[in-house]
Amino acid sequence: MNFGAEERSLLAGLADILIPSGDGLPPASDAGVAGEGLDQVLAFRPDLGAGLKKLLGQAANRNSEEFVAQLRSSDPAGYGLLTELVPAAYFLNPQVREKLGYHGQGPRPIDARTDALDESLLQAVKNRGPIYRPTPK
Amino acid sequence: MSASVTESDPDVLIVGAGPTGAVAARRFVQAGMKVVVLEQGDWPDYSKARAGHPDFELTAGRYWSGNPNRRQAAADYPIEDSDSDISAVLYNAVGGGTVIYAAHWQRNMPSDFRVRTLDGVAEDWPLSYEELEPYYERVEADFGVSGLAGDPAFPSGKPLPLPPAPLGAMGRRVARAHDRLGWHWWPAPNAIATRAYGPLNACTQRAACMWGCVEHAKGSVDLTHWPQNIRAGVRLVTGARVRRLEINSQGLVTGAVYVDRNGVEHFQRAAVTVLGANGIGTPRILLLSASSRFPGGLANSSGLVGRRLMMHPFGTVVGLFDEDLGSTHGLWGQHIHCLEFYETDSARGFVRGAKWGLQPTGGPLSMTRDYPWGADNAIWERDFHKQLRKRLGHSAMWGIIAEDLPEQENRVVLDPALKDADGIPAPKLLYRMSENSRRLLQFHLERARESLVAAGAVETVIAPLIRETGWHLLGTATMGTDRAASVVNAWGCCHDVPNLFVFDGSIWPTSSGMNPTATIAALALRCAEQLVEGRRHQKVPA
Repeated sequence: MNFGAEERSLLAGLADILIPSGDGLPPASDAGVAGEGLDQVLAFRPDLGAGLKKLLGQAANRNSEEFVAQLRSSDPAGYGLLTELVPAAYFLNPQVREKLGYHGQGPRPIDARTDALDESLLQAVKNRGPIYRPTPK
Repeated sequence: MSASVTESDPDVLIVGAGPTGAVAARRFVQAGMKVVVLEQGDWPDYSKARAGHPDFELTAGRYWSGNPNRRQAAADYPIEDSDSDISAVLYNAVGGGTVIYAAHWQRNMPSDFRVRTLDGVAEDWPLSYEELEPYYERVEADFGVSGLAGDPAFPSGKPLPLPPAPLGAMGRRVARAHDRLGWHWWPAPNAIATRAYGPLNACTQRAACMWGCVEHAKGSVDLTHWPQNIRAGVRLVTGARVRRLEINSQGLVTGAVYVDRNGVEHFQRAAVTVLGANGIGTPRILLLSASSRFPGGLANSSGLVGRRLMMHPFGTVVGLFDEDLGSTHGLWGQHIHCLEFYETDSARGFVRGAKWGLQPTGGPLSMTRDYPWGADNAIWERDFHKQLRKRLGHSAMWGIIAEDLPEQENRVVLDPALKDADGIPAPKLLYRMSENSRRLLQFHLERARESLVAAGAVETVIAPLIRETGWHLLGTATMGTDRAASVVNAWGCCHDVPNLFVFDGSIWPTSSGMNPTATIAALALRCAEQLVEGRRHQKVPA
């Protein structure tokens, strides 16, 4: 599904309400949420396209802040779509991920030496004894 | 359609290839029985498991979503849930719910089987913890369960097959806090391989357990059971959605009418039929199988088919810590569990209790979602980045499984209008959280908050009830000894139809406050064993 410049501009305005700049990180629009980010999201989740198209149609000629507030209060599905799509596009940006120090859900194998349980930690629990009610006779 | 069963027909037809069907099919085929299984879904597509890729958190919400209304796959049926406080979560595929479960492997406690005797509510189970214990041990070996023996919350027993998951920084913090508070904690049991085990590889702590385990480290039955079952001779038919069960003039089930993915109707005959289609799918099939002989639904002379739906209201408490806990990763899964407040204390103003499991919170997109943070705790707008950094990698979550008592009016019915893609009436949920459950959950959320504060949390975030967490679907074809007050007996045999069995979570008289797969699997094995032992005397269609 294609989105034109006007729709992308609308999306950028809405996205910046949800994710403004701060803490050394750019606002959503500067991170390409309405540009490459949107294209990437829709490539992974084409099912989100129709809902977004409809939502942006409703947002035309509206104040972005008021529109987001209205979605939040009266359109849970639309608000849910926007709050899924915008951060998803934002966090796909490699610079954003780098600034967050987040490198994805890569493997962290269990290390039998460093991850071994210190069983002395359990002594206090054991000392308190059973806490279950046995089956009545 | 022939009403008679011939030697070429299977001894057993199982509906559903989730944990119930997997465990039962294994036992039947081991006993030399001919087994056919109908599953409306397909094999899970692990090429869609994206942990490690940038789109993981985004795509996880589609293919691996547990809500069939959101997933809308070809295998799914819609569930009308507008009159329910909780949305059902399930997975229609080979492996069933275990494909997307968090693999918290909790046995029930002895008191869970004696709630009437001990707490004066609901019904006792027609079996005891001690009767089920040997079956727990056997299924734990099959699922590759990790954990540590000696937990004082349970009777002592044999060691689990695999060592426990690492406590991690968050687990150590909370464990020390509980020792100071004098509260229970223990390294948690999980059906997650902490080292290579049979068909399972070792876990690599990607916190992706519910959204496609790329390592094949989670004990889901598409890995632990079905390939072996098929090699042993079980015939598994995928894309097969059961429309109804057929009954002969003697009141015995002759088999199931099912629709394949091309919309073509088939009839599968069998001597005995076992339902393992979960607490919604099973009553749906029984209600769809109404006939002149069984006008209120098959096996429903008690009127209890579909009633007493229990879904475990679920809340979370998340602690935010100054320390980097590395909580983007870990087992999802649980690192430790707490059963300090599991048993009834009447001074609290409610009966029964809840289990807590300590979990990581995942990557950045997860920091913005209702699960685990709650719909009222969103971080958008002005403080977005500040809140994001406070959460990401610095948070630990107690997930709280609250026991739900059986209420007659909480139920599954057939929706009068909504249908699935094959034109079969869809289930509708009528469910309201009871006052006991509300009080119970509130109490536990407050204690869990105290736990995390004691562990050093600088801030806590409470999600009192998360809607899309109806993972545990229980009680809708309850078992008991009184045929007027139950649907099946203690071995899952329907009182009204002697060659029809229900083995899944539908038959639980009460829900416990535990994740149910351990008990679902153990119970399925116990029921299957009884059917095998009694097969010479089993009534079957002539």
